[in-house]
Amino acid sequence: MSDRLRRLVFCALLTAAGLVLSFLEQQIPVLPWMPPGVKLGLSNVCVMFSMIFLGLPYALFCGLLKALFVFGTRGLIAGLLSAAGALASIFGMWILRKLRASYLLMSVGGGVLHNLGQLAVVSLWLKLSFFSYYLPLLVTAGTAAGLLTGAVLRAVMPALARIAPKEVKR
Amino acid sequence: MKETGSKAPAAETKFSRRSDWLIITALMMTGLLGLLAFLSRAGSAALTRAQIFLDGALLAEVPLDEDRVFTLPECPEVTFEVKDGAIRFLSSDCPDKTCVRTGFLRSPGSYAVCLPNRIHIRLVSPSGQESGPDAITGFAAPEPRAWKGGAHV
Repeated sequence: MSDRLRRLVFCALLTAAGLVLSFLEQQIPVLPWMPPGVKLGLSNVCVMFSMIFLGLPYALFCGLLKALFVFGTRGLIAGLLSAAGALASIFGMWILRKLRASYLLMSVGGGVLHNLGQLAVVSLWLKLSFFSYYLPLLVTAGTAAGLLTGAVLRAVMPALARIAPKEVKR
Repeated sequence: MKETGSKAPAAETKFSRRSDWLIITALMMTGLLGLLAFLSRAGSAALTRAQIFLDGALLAEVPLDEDRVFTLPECPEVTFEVKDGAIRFLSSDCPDKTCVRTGFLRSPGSYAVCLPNRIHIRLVSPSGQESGPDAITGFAAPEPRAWKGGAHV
């Protein structure tokens, strides 16, 4: 299979998985101590995989398509939150990768930035800075989410190595 | 840098390093310390008041000493309830009802938010010692009304 085709198929698989995870994430009941609409970022694992194996353009596609899905199912604000989270985490991971960070650090960075991106959108929407109140909590939650996605990556890596395209050069 | 725990077949990127865990611990500590600092600022129920904002502009400051259920003229579809020194969204016309499900706010500095209606409630301790908004942008906020009681439901 040509490399190009392999990438396309892998991207489709990851995006589909991302949509399913996003749907599942939406089912989580509202937690009062989280800012409204902010998602845990567990479905971000797919975006992270596309970042590592397919590169920035494919990762953006995966993330933004997911955001479009959220927009279609949950409305404008939720869609914007998802897009902001995806963009922040993708570019953060891209930078971390350039800096030769390890996978674990990339996962954690992606998780934290995912939450920070969402927080930024909520703050802008309400024209108020929420940072002093929600920031510590979201940093911790983002780190935890990042650790989880990192663990998933570690577990799935051997299987992925067989079917995935070669890793994109840093 | 020492490379540990790498099972990744890809030769270039390692899975984790010792220094990573340092960073992770630092991030977790930031969160926990922030939470502790925040929780230690709880004020007494009788003196705490709630601020209700629409689009970032303060609409009303509500004392929490007396139980009441009320709406504000600027947003007649949203009702608030004050009970036992705490406040919450009682009902709202938004599709998600995230605000209502947030429940009661008790500690100063906590928020409840209704995004579609662009309303949020913030609890303020009497000495105003919890940090206020870092910035309110865009317009001069109107003078907040002294609480004379909104429309009662």
